[in-house]
Amino acid sequence: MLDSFASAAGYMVGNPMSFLLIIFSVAWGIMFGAVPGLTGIVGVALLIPFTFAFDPTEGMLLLGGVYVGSTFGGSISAILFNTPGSPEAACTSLDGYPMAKRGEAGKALGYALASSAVGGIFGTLVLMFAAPPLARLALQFGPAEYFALAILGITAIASIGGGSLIKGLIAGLLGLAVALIGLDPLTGVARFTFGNLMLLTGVSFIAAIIGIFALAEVLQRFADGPQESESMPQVSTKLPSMAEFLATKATLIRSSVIGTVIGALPGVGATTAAFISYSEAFRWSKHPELFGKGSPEGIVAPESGNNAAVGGSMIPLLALGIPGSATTAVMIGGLTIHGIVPGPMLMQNNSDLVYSVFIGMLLANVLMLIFGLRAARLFALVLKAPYQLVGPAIVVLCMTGVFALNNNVSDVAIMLVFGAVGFFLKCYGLPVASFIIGLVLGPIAEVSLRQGLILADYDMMTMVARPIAGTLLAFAALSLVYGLWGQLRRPPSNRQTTAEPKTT
Amino acid sequence: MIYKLSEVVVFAVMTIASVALWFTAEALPVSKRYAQVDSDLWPKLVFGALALCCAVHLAQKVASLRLASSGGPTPEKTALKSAMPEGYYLRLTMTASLIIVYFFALQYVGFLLATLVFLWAGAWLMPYRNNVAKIAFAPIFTLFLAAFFNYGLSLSLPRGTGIFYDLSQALF
Repeated sequence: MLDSFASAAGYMVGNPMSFLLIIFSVAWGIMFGAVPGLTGIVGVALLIPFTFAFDPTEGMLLLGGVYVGSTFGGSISAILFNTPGSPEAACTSLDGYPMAKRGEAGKALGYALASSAVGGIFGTLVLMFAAPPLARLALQFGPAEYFALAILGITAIASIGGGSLIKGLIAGLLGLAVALIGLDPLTGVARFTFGNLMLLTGVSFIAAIIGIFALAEVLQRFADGPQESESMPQVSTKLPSMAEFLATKATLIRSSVIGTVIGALPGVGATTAAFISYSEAFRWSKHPELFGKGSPEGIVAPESGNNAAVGGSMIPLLALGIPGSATTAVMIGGLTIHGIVPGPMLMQNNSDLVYSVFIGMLLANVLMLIFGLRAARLFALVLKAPYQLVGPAIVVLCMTGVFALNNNVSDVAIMLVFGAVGFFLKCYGLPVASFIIGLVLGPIAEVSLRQGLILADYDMMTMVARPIAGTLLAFAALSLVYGLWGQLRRPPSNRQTTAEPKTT
Repeated sequence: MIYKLSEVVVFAVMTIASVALWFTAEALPVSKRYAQVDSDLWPKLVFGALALCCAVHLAQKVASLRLASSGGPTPEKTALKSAMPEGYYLRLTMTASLIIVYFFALQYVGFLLATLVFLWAGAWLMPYRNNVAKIAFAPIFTLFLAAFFNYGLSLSLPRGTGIFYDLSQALF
């Protein structure tokens, strides 16, 4: 292993082009991640043809850098405009935007950037030193384990209600219900499409979250009308201090571990990692009542989780040839162009390539920190622009980005519908976080449950008695009971949420 | 009071809808192969739980409404929430209508013209003194976005139909 590292390091030092490619790809990735609708997958896909002009190592460095940059980039628009640039940044909006609204945009971006870098470096280090054993562990995850993991995340919806258990449940169940629209993944039966052919593929997740967050916010801000004072709120571009950042170290470590493990599971990806990191941060926080109001932990958890998942998702790709996420599935195209077959033999036959990718991803995370430090201050200044101009511009950007995704107007229509849904959720105090968690984890929970029952001969006890599944379910049940007990113990006045709607 | 009434109506509708959708799931085609884990398993679990939660919440809201109508004390929070900004519903309706019109205009008129008019109209929805910025921002932002998506990313934008299509072809 040391020889391979030395050889790869020698290659990188002797090939300045590789550094240029990493710099370009991180910037490209941040840009794609920041524009709503244009995700890292699109950024990677657009660069794949260009990798033909480079050697395989340079090609992989180019694609890996985009993946790293885009995962952070989504948090920029999530924090500044409540518009997640990519699905994995949806959770970041929940606390990043409230922090930006109270004039601490720079601090919010700083938390996101630092935790992205830490999570990304952690995930890459695990990738470097523990890829084969983690890949073997990932293979132990079957439908029962995936179901248990989804339940672990879903049990958080009852708690993330700002104090109202029933509202959290309603919002989460609404999310689960929306996720049912489309073709049944097992039988192919059309469910709840009501004859609409466009809904056969289900609800586009990106269009839905952009509508729920961005459009609903624009509607709310314009309906509220001009503020009492015409002057813009003070926008501070100050980054968090080291002491402030280190105060979130427990959340940072936990979320990085969660993100890496979840990223290593084939087919799951950074979005699920971000949501489960967020829900676990909420569950274990000493101040859960601050979540949704600009809590630093609410930013650190999803950002470190989703960036750690980047390294994690490369584990099954490089060790087993199975993509860990949609983006790594696209990256397989970049390897195929050069005739390289990802799989168990890749590390033996192309160790230079593999270890160069490891070093490249470490560099990409460090470069993201350097670019982002400068850029965070500049991006935060956008908030000084009047909302009368910024609001309509956000609507245009969202519609354009969502349309450009699939060149399909129905995605834009879905975005508009979910804009109304998001506004409705805010009006009646139903937590958006619970809805989104239900929307993301619902399909995983359903498919895994049904597949698990088929494999276990329809015996639920056999399914949950599996060691990993049983442990996760027991943990989910214990933490649910603990969370509910904590809520019920609190005096009624403390159970009320300030996320209650402003309207009558 | 109106808000409390609207809550009761909304959650009543949600309860009824959940029950109706439960029965819709019941009517889904049956698969002999997957009879025990058929298409209706998960929907029934979800809509059953949703109907139950909405019914419980509805009962809470009805109880709260009865307390309010019998002259019970109004919590300070509720009283503060009752004070809505003037013209709230008008601005909400206008903003929503503008967005919907823009959605249809994108398809028939094309990106350039529709976006230009939308941004100008949006800037005038709320008072803002700097008229130069309001006028200048729309064309600059529209052109920048068109160039970015078309030439930077090679992603197509809506071109409209008929003469608007020909116009957008001529422009980019």
